[in-house]
Amino acid sequence: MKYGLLSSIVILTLILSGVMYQRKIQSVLGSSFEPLFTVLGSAPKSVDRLVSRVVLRPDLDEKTLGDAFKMRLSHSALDSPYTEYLNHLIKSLTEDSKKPFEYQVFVVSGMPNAFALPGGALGITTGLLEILEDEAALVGILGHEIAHVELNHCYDAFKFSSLAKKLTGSRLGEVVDRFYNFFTRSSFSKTQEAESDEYGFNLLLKYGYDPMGSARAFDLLVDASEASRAKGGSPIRAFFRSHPTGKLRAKNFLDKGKRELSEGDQYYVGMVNYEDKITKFQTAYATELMTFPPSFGEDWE
Amino acid sequence: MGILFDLGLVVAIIILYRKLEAYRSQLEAQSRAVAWMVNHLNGGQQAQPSESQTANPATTTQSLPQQNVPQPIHQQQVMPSSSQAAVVQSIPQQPAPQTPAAQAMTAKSSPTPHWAAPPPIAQGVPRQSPLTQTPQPHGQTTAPNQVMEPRRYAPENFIGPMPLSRSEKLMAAMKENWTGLLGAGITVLGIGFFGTMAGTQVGPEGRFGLILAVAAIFFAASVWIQRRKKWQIFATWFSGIAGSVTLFAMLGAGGIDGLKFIGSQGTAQAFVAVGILVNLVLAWRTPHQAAGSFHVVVSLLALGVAPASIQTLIAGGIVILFGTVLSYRKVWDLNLLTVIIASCFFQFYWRFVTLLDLSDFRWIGIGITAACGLGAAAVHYRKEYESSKFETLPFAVHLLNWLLFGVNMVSYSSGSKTTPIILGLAAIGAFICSRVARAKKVSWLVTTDNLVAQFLGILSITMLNRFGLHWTERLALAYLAIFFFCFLNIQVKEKLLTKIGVNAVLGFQFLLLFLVPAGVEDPAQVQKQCLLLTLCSLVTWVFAVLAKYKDYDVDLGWDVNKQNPLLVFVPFFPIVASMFFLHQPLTLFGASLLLPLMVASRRLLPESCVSFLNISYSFASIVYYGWIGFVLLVAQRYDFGTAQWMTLIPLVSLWVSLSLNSIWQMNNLSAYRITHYMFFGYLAAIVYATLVETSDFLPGTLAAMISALCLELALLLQKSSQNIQESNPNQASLRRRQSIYVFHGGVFFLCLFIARHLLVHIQSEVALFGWVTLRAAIECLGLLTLLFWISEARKLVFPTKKTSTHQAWTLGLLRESIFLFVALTVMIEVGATNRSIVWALIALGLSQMATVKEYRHLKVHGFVFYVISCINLAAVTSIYETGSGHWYSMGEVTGVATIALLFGYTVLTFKRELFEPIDYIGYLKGPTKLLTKYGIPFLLYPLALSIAIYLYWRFSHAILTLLWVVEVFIVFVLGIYLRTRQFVHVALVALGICIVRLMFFDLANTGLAVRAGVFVGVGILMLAINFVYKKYRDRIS
Repeated sequence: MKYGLLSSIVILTLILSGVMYQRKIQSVLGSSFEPLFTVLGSAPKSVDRLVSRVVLRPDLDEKTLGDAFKMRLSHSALDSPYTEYLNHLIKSLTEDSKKPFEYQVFVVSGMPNAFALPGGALGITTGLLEILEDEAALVGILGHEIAHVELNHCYDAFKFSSLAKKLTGSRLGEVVDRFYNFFTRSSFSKTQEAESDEYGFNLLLKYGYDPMGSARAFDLLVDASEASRAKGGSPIRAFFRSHPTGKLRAKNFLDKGKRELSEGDQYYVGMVNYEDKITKFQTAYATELMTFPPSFGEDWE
Repeated sequence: MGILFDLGLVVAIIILYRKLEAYRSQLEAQSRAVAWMVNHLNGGQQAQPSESQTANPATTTQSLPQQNVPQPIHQQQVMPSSSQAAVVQSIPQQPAPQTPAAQAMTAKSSPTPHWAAPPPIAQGVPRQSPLTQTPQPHGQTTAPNQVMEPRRYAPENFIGPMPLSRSEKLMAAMKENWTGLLGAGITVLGIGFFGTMAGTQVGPEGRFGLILAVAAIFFAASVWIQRRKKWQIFATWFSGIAGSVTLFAMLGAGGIDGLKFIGSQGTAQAFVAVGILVNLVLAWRTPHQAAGSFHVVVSLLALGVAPASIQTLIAGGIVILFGTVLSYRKVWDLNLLTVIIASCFFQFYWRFVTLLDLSDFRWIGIGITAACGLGAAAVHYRKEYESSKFETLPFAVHLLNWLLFGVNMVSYSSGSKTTPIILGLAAIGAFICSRVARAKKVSWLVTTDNLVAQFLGILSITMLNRFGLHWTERLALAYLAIFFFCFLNIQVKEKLLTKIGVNAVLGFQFLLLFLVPAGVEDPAQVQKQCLLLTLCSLVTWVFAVLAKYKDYDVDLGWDVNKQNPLLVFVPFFPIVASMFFLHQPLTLFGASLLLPLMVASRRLLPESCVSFLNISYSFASIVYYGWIGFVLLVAQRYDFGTAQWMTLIPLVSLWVSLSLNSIWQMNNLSAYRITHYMFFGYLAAIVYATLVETSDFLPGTLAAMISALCLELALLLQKSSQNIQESNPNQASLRRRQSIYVFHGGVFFLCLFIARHLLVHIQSEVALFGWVTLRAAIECLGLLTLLFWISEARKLVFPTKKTSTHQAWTLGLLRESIFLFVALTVMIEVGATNRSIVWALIALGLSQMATVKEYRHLKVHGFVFYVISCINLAAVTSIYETGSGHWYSMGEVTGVATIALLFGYTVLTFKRELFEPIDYIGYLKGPTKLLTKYGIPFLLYPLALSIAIYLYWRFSHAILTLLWVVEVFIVFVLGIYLRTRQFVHVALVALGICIVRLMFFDLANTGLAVRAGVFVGVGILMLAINFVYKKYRDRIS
């Protein structure tokens, strides 16, 4: 037993060291507390979930709230050629949703970004639509935003904020809300992002899209915002950062995507779909169906 | 029509049920009569009650004929007299107290856990109904020490000779307890309705008046209640409520929506001031410090909520000062503590929300901090505290006050050049205070204020950057300050302070040696640094000479050379200084190579000189310094390949030093220890520096292996020491020591591995082979390493009690760390919905392992994982969506699997009776006792609650009642199966709730088809419950 354990440790270490030495595997962030905070955030997030569910506000109905948000967004949204395409896509992606409302996507002007509001109101900026190149990457982004709604991230936050205001008056409410966000939400906002990332990735797999779609999308977002390339950082900054570092997310999506595929597997990219603004669910092009590994070698990374 | 039909159906079922119950009661009465007759005819021989029944006076009856049945001694002792039984009958809900002896006896005579029902009577002995048992003759009891079996979880056993019917008991309980509660509840409801009405019909002024009226009622009640001694505490809290409600009203009048009716800011502030004044008056009146603190805190809260202005800050200062003054009236340390903490929060928050510039209120803030801080500090100089005895609470309060004083001072004076001056003055003030305390002979105060003076002094010096001082210079100054304090404390023979001071001096010497060289950014600074180091060296040297001639007692408190510990680093100051003058990397390595010669020269020097210089210690330090030189200089000048082999030189030197030490059997064990530690530190540094560029996963991975090898080496060394114990005891002793140091080295590498794992490894998703990720492989390695440590580390025998304690702690921490490691791994590797299954599996596995005597402690960990699984089921599995179409990640599937596993755990735990009190598991003794007392008897409830929540959120509300009744049924059956009455009762109460929901929710809100299904399902389950109860009720009777 004793020597079995010791020899296992030595052999495993030597094998791992050999592989690492040969492949020169490096972490994305170096020494960073960020992944740890993301993992540990699941505990306060669970408590928050319970509290949000238990502290009910019967007067706050997510559907009604969503309708209000949708009406508000419809005034500021652009009349984009993508709108119809996006709404076709979101309808197909949310057909198994348990939420009692329909999702709606709005195109707004601005830097590359996307957001979700309670009640299924999603927003995507023209900046993001311009840099995306295929439907798989778009599904990666939309899947992430759908997750924020499906997992009640935005609804819980909204509910707590409004409850605090209602209970304690506007000024004290703001104070409570600010303190809560400052000290508590920071501990699990990264966890929420990680949960949404996982949900978005699962959607890609579920509908047969390219598993690396999310990786491409986040890579493009990282390119658009050089700030998130920063390596490491202090534990305090890592704690208070609301989103995980974009570069780490892109790399992890890529690695997970690679793991999902084995030789001969097929996946759908949807560049033509994105260009023609016709979803895969409407028309699936044979040329968009790729076989792993791609013929153009390492470039796909 | 549908509803009417359903109602009719339900009424019919109820009538039918009642008829059946009546019939059942008749049958029971007949069977009791037959049993009594049989018993009477047999002369009572079969009526010998079981141990537990005998011990239970509630199960005896007075209405049946008395029989002279001989009793075993322990049974006789536990029998009550009939008069006592009668007393028990009259207070059916209160268990009788037990004497310790009786408790022991009861525990001895009761092999089953005390929360479970008594075991069945052995085969061959007919079981007797409680009603047919015979009472004991008066003469056979040993009153007044009557003892009853614990009934904490089965109070219903305390029925008299004529058992009360269920409805009678319910009524009695209602009369005894529930009328008051219901009355209070109805009153509160009334107030609630009144408030709602007021909220909708009255304007802000009216609401303000109403709230004030409520406050007045509370105040009047407090005045009235205060006359009764027993109720004084309520009076205090009523007055507290009155004060806070008044303040709320005053605050609301100026700024809370719905209450606001004042437009002018000045008037609003005046209102708040009145509210605060009321609270301060109440605080002054109250005899309870908790209430006094409450009023002060409430006042500060009100000021915090009000718009931040200079006025609110000043008012806050006055309130804090008032709160401090309260502590002058009596010994109110808790009040002082609360006020200090509240004051800090208030000031921090005020700074956070204010829009004013710091320069606008700097001096006000400093004034408030000075007044309140010094006022709070002066509390402890009063007569009441004049005692040489150490007082923990005042000590902590005093220290905290000074700490927050320093923090607030720094905060208010940031950006100003005056800060170091103010802090310096405060340090002098604190030092004078310590002298005053010394004159008054309050020893703890001397210690506190002296330490505070040192802290403030160093804080002041660290802020001298505002005068352009480089940080290395400030560090040197701080060293001199600490040295000065230490010198003064040695002079006045303050032992504890001397010990702390000498350790601090050593620490600062260490910092000076290693940080000052590292802080050289500009070659022009080199000479300045050298001068500083030389100056520090000279001061220390002069003191050392003084110490030698004046025979100062400079005990460090740990086993470093006791003669002159201050001199440990002294020789290095000039060496380091000279190196800086040369500033050549080769000189550093030259120095490293020369060091073994210094060790060798030990033989050539006189003994006093050797102990004075502490050569081995010096050697290790300089080698470490050499490494810094490498990092700073060599790596910059040469390519990495060239530098790599050079790093080996100090490593070899260290090893040579260790060998020489070992050969010469050095008695200076602290030096020997430090050399070992330096070696491991250096090894870690080299592994990191050389491999991190290739792959930053490598250092952590290798650290895991090195830690395991260190442990193995420690075991080998210990074995070897045992082998040579007789032939060479000195060498054996040294090896034993060495094994401990190597063990510590192993722990160090293990910590490094864990740190690297948390900071680096867990962020990777890179695949190693196919589906296996690199991270998973490293987790596997970590698990193996921790397992190796847990299994092997306990084999080490530590020579002294102190080190044995360390070992026990290390092993305990290791044991806990493996669970934390596993938990973290599960959180990383397993999806959110599946985690509850894994937690439940771990709980089951641990409970299985806990059946082995050696691993009994694992039941505590198993329970923790069980609770985590329950929480996960309720908070995550119930609502989490993965977006994946896979069946195995669906919440419905994973939830049901978890529930099955957790039920399995519960059943196994009860069946195996694992949770006997365990007193052998050192640090787990407390948790185990808690677990045994509160965890296990209620083991099923977290699960039941989690399942109820899970069902509520995961499934349609239309069928929720049915699902809950299924859960109730399972709990009921488990209660019968495990012979645990309380589960059965809880299940029945829950069933009642389900029936209420059925009537009030399902009847009105569900469609006809679903409703029919639910009603039929619930009906069948209730029949099943009835069937199971009738068939197996003996198991819980």
